[in-house]
Amino acid sequence: MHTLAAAVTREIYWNIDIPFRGLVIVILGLVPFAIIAYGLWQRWQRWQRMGDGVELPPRDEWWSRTKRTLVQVFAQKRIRRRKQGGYSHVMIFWSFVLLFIGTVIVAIQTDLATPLFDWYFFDGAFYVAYSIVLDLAGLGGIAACCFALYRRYVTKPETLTKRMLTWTPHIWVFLVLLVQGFILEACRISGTGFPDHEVYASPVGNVFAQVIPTGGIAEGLHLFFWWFHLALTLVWLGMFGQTAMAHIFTSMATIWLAREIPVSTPRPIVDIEEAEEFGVLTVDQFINTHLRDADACVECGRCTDVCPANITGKPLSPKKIINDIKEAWLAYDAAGGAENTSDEDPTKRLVGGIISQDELWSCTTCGACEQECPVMIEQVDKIVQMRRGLVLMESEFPEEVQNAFNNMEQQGNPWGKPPDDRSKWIEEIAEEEDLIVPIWGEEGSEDAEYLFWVGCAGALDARSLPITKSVALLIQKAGVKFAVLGPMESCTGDPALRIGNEYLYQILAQQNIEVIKEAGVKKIVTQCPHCFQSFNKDYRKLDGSLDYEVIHHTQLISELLEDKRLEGIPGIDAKAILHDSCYLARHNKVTDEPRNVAKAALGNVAASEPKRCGEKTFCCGAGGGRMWMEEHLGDKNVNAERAEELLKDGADTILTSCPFCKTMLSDGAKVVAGESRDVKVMDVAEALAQGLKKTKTGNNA
Amino acid sequence: MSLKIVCLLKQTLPTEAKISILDTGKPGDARSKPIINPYDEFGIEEAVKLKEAGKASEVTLLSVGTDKWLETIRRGLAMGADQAVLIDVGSEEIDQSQVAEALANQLQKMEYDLVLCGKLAVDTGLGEVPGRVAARLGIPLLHVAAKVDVEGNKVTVERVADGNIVHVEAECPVIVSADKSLNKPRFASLPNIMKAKKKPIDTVALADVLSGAAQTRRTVKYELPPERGPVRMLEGENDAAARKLVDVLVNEEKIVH
Repeated sequence: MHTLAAAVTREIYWNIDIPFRGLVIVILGLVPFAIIAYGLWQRWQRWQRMGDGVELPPRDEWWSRTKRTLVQVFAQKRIRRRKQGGYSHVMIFWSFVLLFIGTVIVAIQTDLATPLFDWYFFDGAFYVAYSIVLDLAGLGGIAACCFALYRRYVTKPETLTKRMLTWTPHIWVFLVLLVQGFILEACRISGTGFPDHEVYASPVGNVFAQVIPTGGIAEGLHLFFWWFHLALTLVWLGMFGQTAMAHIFTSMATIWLAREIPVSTPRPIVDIEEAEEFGVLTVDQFINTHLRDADACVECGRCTDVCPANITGKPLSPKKIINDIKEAWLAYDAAGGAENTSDEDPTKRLVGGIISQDELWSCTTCGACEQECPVMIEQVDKIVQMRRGLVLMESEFPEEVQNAFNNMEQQGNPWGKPPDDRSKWIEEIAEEEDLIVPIWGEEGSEDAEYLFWVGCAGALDARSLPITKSVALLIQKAGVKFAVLGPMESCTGDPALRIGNEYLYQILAQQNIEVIKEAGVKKIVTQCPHCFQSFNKDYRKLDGSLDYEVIHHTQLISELLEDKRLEGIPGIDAKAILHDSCYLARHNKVTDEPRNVAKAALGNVAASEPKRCGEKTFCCGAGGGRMWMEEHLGDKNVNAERAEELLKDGADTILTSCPFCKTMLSDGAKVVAGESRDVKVMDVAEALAQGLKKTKTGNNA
Repeated sequence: MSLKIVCLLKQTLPTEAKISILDTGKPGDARSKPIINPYDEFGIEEAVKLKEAGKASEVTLLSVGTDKWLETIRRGLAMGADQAVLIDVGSEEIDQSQVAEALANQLQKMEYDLVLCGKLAVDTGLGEVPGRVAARLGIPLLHVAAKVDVEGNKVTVERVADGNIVHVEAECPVIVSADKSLNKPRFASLPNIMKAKKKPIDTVALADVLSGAAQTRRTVKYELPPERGPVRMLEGENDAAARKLVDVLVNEEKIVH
């Protein structure tokens, strides 16, 4: 048995007869790694020159960040979000990793196990498994490389063609190495007289071997290809620190250093009263993170593929923005940095220079780009930083935005309605539904569990009022004690923040934080996902002491349904499709609850869903303050693009969970469906409340 | 020559404010944040533009108000004015004639070549102050200016009249009142907002500039206009809806007889 097992192996370095071959090869092999290390050290120096240098996260986060990085590296979670490019990358990655490990195992056998311990493990079942795995890795790698080249030369998806020069040579080199590997294996099998076990241990190499004559020809071919394989591998590896292949290291570092993604909250300006510069106009004003992560961009273009502005023909491409920043910084650095460049330099001046205002104003801050980015680059925060530069330093923004700013500042809402109008719906619902909504701190609010934060749209906009009333009706029916702030409520500042008017945002935010603190609010339920975002994420970045709980109305209603506190509501009759809000589904990961409410509203039937749904939802076009800007660029409006997708399978009802989505999609549906087709757009809460009203009329009758 | 400009500034409620009669018996809106009277804002913008063009050396804001106006005055400073003078009326009630008197008296203590102000304030809608100030100072008033040109000591304005444009000119010192087509006021940049916090605002007591001028008019009472009824939609096809409309106008609302 022992002899049989011992025979099942291969002679390492067969046919390679040089003195100290094990040692020589290991030393040769270490050269490229030294070059890589030098390249990475240079890169690290470069990163340290960016902004204030690389800031390491607190130590208690290191392990969770390492786990996150390992998941992205080995499971390639984000990369797999794309089927074609994603899975071919996974195969090339694992092919590379397995073959690399295979090479290391050989080195361990010849340079450690044998000389030091006289231990030979490279035989028997281990050898068979080893050989099969590597054969399959090679085969998979060849298939994936061929597919990757096929896409680059034949199918040519738009985002790939621009990257031909960066990546294509590397794919070719790896393909050549893999094919050579099999030729080498075949020469060895043929040269060693076709050992029986190679039929199953090296199935692929064995097939190749059938065409290689035994004896001298096999040996000669083997010798040539062996040295060629070694040389090409060493040269290629040596380039890993400097070329696009450095992405192996830079993307790991970027993922490890990244903030929570999608980032959702643009970094606040700290001590705004003391600062002298606000936002970003020139490339040197970016913080380290924004320059460093741009430097790690592999130009895969996934951000641009999912960008609603780009899809509808606007001038914005997140990938272009990132690369503009990268190239501008490299030029700035090459020119000698701050001392040797003036702010007027065309490359240093980003905004209004290589990055146009139209690009920046096209962004809806939906966060799709950040969610797709495999290396966790912060596209949206960069755009908001540049918007800040325009708004705060240069007073530059689309003309119509000034009204929104003035209205937010003077009247506490972007519409410019008088603050007292926030009580109107309370009077209306008292009359229509006999429902008394108490004001926080006033009579009837003593046992209020929740502060119902209605929001500007919810209190002042005709199309959003029914949502507010429906939420109030439902939670009151379920016995939830709540109160509202009425005219004391003010805009949360979300549009100001994301348009870039951080000053106005902080004024509004501080004012609201003060009101909430003074009122002693512990639990908040918001009608609008944008208000939810403000309370849940944005405000906590301004004031770390905020300890209230905040949920969106769909979360509360879903909970009430689950607890059977809302029962016996008949479903409405509709062919409904569900649209997720970016600020609920993507930025705050609330996706199940709107579905639960929709299902209850439709009589226990799930609403249908478009392809772009859940966390991958497609923007309605209103986010990032776009609600307050005209949409005059592009081939179509974002809301029309979305409405088209939602209505293409004949739905007659679009269910939303955000007042802005409702407004945008109502308009979009009119454009897409025309006047003849009756499409209803309503919030899931409205749909459920309609059923509730049915029972009421039933009882009365 | 480089002009010294004084801009008159009144604080008003935002144009969108919901006016109610407050407990004080006066109209107001406690929840809205006050603004610079939009017409005065055109005046300030024009002054700052003249300064930027090198035609003015100094822009001073002048107000007759209370210390509650300081934040609004800072907004004017953030637009680019250099300093401000506030004539503090405290809790005193004065009318337009007295306001003009106080402004004129204060102006006489200051150096000025050009006074810029709004043609009226949006809250009272009266437009008395420019004329009254001009009369008291004995200087020309170029009223309701849609365009202002300054050449040395000479100020030319264009005024849109009924179907024609009138060009009027006068020598400094002169007072010019702004119409809304004069310019588009800027949105102050944040560095300028921050700088404005450090610009000087002098406060002058009303008594120092208004000695003995008595109020000649008295406001008796403020009341709100009657509330507008809700909009009614008439259902039905064109013909039927038209019939209904006639019926409503003649028989229900009795607007058409």
